[in-house]
Amino acid sequence: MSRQLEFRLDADAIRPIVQHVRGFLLELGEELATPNGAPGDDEIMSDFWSRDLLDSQRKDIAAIAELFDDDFMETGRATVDEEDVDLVLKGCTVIRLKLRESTLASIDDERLESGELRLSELTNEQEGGYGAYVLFASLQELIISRIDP
Amino acid sequence: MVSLIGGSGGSFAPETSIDSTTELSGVWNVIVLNDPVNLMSYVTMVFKKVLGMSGGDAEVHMMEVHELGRSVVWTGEREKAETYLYQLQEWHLTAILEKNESSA
Repeated sequence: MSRQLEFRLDADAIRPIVQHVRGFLLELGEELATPNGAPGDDEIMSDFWSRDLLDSQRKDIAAIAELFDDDFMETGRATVDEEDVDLVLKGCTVIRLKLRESTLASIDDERLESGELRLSELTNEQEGGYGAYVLFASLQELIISRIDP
Repeated sequence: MVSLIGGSGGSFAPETSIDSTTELSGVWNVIVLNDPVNLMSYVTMVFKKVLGMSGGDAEVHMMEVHELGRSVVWTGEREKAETYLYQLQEWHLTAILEKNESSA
């Protein structure tokens, strides 16, 4: 029997954050979140390589979409099956990378890493983005602490 | 590699030497570059999962990435290096291959 990780969040507080992320999930199915690619100049290999990475990224994103589905939006309760843990961990990274280069692009790395941000300085969109950035980091930390103590 | 070399005595005598080394042969380094997003615990976990590192080694390499901007996480033949490179990229770490010139 496979194990599950379950977590509960305040659905009302988390709803706008999840809505923010849902807005660009589709986009992440079409482009890689990192500047990675195949080594060398072989165009055919490079094409296959990027396509495989994108297929893999789509699975990560699908796992996140499933985790924060409509049921979660109502109850604030989500479960991660043991076999989906890797996908969810990777999906969290994809979303954080995307937030870093889009919504949070104008904030420097040091401030973002230290969390020394005044919410009053942020636009509504940045506030939602920052909330998601922190949420997905916390989710990763939580899962890693359970599977890789 | 094939080379044509003019022979002695006025006649052109093709001399063929075959060099079995190619651009892809030799020893390759798999290098992970720093990025401002991935958590230290995540990078450490990925090194353990993908490269089979011990916890201690994974942390040493993670700190190297964090402090120096890059770390050579694996060295060896090209085909296996490509496999590791792909897997690290699949985990969304920024990774590249570089030829290990010191082994040439």
